[in-house]
Amino acid sequence: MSRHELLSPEGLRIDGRRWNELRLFEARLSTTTAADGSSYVEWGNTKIICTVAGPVEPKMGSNRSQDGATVVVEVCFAAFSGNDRKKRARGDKRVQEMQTALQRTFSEAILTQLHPRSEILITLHILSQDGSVLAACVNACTLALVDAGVPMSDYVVACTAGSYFVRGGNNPEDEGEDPLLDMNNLEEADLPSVTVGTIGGGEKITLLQLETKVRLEKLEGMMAVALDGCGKLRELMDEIVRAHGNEVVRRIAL
Amino acid sequence: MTIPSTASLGFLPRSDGSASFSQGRTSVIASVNGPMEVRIRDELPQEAYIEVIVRPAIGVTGTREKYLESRLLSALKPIILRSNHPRTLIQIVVQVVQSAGSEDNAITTLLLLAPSLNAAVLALLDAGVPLKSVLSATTVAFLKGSGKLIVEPELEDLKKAASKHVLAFTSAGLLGFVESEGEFEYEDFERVVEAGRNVCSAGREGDDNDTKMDTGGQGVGELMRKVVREKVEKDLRWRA
Amino acid sequence: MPRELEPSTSEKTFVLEALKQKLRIDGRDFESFRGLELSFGEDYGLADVQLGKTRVLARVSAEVAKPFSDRPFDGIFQITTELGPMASPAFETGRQTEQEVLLARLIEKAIRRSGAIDTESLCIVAGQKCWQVRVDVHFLHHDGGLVDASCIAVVAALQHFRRPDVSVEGEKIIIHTLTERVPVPLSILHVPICVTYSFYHGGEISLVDATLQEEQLRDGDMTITLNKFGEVCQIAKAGGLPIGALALLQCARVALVKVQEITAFIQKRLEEDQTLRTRRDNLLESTAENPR
Repeated sequence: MSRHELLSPEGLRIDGRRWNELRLFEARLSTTTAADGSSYVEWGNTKIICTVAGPVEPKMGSNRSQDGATVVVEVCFAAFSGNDRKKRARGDKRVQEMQTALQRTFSEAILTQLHPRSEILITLHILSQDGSVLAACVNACTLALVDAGVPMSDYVVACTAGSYFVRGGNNPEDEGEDPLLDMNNLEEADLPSVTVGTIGGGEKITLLQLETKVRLEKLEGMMAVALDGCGKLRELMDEIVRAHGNEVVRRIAL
Repeated sequence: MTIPSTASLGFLPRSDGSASFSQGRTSVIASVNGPMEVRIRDELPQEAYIEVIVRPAIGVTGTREKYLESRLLSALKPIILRSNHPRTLIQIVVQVVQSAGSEDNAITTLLLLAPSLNAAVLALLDAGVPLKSVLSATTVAFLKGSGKLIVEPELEDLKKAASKHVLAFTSAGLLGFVESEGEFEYEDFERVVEAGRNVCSAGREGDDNDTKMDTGGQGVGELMRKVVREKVEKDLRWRA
Repeated sequence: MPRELEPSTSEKTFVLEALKQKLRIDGRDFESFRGLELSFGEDYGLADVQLGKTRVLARVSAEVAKPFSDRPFDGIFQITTELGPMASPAFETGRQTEQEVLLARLIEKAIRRSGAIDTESLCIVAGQKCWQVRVDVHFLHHDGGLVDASCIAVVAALQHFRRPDVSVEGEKIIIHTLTERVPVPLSILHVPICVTYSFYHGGEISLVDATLQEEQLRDGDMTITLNKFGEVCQIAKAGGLPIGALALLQCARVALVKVQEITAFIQKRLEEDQTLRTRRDNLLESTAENPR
């Protein structure tokens, strides 16, 4: 896919969005009844199942901590989730890195001191990858933790942003860099992108990951756009949670 | 031609003992930690558990390193007073920094054995681990055609040699460790041992006509004593 | 193996209180790296870095291999970082701890993924033969800043390394020894340097290049990799304390200055080593002694 098609001169991306539009974010809570909490997130074509078990007795003695609960995260990429069928080996370094990032992020957000000597086990299954996978995982975890009733200080919301370089061509004034909100697979493959995770929708960043080269000046723009996206997502997620809460209350009342 | 050797002690602040030993293009660093806490499954009720780990310069650990580990263990285990520290672990790590020759074969592996042993012994001394005796090691090559012995040979000499020997002696001149490879007669072996003893024992003059030794530098035993003496002098300089 | 000793409560209180008063235990200011020493070995591609007390060795080697089937025009470039018991008795051999995995991923993203080496230049015969460049990082002493020190060691060693020259004649490939033809340096596209920040007191205080003690007491950390042209190669802030976006951008700007200083330092050392080598090689050639 040639680069200039990623953002047409009219300002439309491949999927018809503008530079500051999020993809369709849909989520459902309590999808897995066996787990303490669960969620299913569909963000564009990225689809993730998340289940939470806990707080429970830790299986390994090393996970028992006097100071608070231990958060354990397991991430599973389905073999059919990517463009080519690929079975990931156990102990794949990229997966382990994702697990550590999620574990540290949520250890910060969850009020772990309320449940010492116990373990909160979060399992994620990625069914379809279409960009912004880490951000979607964060959002799915937040919703599943809310469903499980695990005490958290605020929503942890994550979003991605990229930078599209416009070549001047005939007109040097046209040249510039446009930040793009919420990257899909094709955009992530070609353009630099950053994943930003915030607690509480404010400006405080807890997760920040950039894996491709980008100029330092462009970084500010990308981060601002991503933070804005996080704010929008937080509102969306809050609506979903409240709708689910109301539904639960209604069913109990019947 | 004998190649000169250098050694230094105590440059890694976190290890209980550390030493480096370089001989020509072979350079190794050894560190010793212990006596320290041991894994339950390795715990020995009457003595310390000795662990040797060898890390190569290039690549990950393989059979070469395991071979060196087993040879070093068999040399070091008898000289350490293990019963002084029962139920503990003494961990010796040898890191190869530079190795003579670019191929990985039996000859370059053998060239690593003597410097590794010297570095390990120096590190044990630096760490203050109680030892029965101090070993210093050297390599001797025996050329069949000329009947000449070369002590601390270069890689080229070692390739042409009919048999190669790594020997370690205590400071009193007793043979503590031997690893030989190749074909040789027993009389030749005796000459090899004598040549090695001259180099390793401190303060003994080499009077064997058959040994080809460029006495540009001192023997290994003398070098090790000098390095340790310097360190002790530095440590006790506060004493008037 | 024993676990890493945690600092005592008194040490913890002392260090954190001192930070509130803008004092670090070793007297540095918050944005200074520790003293950096860089030396090279006799062989090409051996770099010895000392960052304060942390000591890291990097060794580059190359051999001819078959390229991957899905990338016939590219050579192979691997970096291995294994934490061993020499660096600290808390590290075990054989088992990959979380710290080791993170370190390996950081170095890989910073150097390999950002394209520091032009892998296409490593190709000899497309689809059949290529150069496999391998960097082995050995940790000799752990006093914090392992990522920063190993990154400097790897880029210095890569710039120092010379591979044998190769000539292709039809089907035959001739690899010239180091004495036949002058060895060829690797094609380095850019020099990435990592800077690790540590955060304390709810994000109010950020330090550059923490010692082991400071690392154990920190609330959060972030590693940012830049090259001297102002390109950010990677940022890794894996959870931990939430920090304001403006503060993070400020960290990035300060990091750029540090990166430029360190890149210049590495360059200077490489030049010094080069003059030493040419002097030594010239001396060797002009000796009149007969070989023994």
